[in-house]
Amino acid sequence: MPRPPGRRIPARSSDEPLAWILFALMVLALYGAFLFAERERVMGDIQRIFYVHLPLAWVGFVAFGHACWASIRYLATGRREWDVVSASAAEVGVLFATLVIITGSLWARPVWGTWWTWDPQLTTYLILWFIYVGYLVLRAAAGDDPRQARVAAVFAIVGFADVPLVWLSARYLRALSPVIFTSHSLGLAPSMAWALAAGLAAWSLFYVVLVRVRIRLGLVEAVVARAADGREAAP
Amino acid sequence: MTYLFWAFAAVWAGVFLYLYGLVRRSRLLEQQVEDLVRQRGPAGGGTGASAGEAPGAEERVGAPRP
Repeated sequence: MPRPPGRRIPARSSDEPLAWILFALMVLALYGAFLFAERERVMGDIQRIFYVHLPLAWVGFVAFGHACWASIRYLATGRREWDVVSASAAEVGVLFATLVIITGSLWARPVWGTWWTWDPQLTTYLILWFIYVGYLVLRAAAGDDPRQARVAAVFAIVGFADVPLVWLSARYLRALSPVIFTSHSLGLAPSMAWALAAGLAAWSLFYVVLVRVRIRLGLVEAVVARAADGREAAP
Repeated sequence: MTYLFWAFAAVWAGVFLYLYGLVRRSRLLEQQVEDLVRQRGPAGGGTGASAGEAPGAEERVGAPRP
């Protein structure tokens, strides 16, 4: 009997090899951050926070971009699955953004002498965090109402406009955070660049694994909610 | 070194707290599925599978990939 059209929910069997690769990459990232990367001359060992702080920030941006893209797809197609994808990506993005703010504060205290400063980059990043926390609150309040879910989707799309502002504020405004990547150079010693690359790979894969699990949970929740309401699941 | 320790500890604590939340939600969902199956009975059209497997693993529901 032919199967109806549609894509398969990511199955558990494909998560196991991914989890093992992730474990190996995480060990490599920790080795790179604590043992392989050379000690920074000015800041000392505290600079090693960078190897988790920057990858988390990168993955946070990717997650918010993913939420924005899924929201656009939801508005275009009206399929609730895209809404689940958007909420899942935003949830994981908020987790990572929260960790970026915490690790940033713990790095700033010994280096800048303060937990927080209203630097343009930090301020725009905090606004981004509030935008996506607001989106998650809106999405949770919307429940099964497609109209409110569409409003939340618009919020996720508009909110993504803050991501380039965070990126550009470090370059063109008086930001305290150093600019690492420029068109001319990487701005890092080779051992530091390798440790950063391992961190970026590990946390990017962690995002893929986490968001797959979260999307699957969201989709199953939606099916169970429909079944509990006595409605037929959409083919 | 204290700040470095707390930064990495905070990251892993945050990650594990989130994973714990997902596990709790998953268990709640399994409980809901079991309740639905029990309410409908064996011939009631329930899937009879746990939250991690059904309808997610095999059923096609038009799910977009992440």
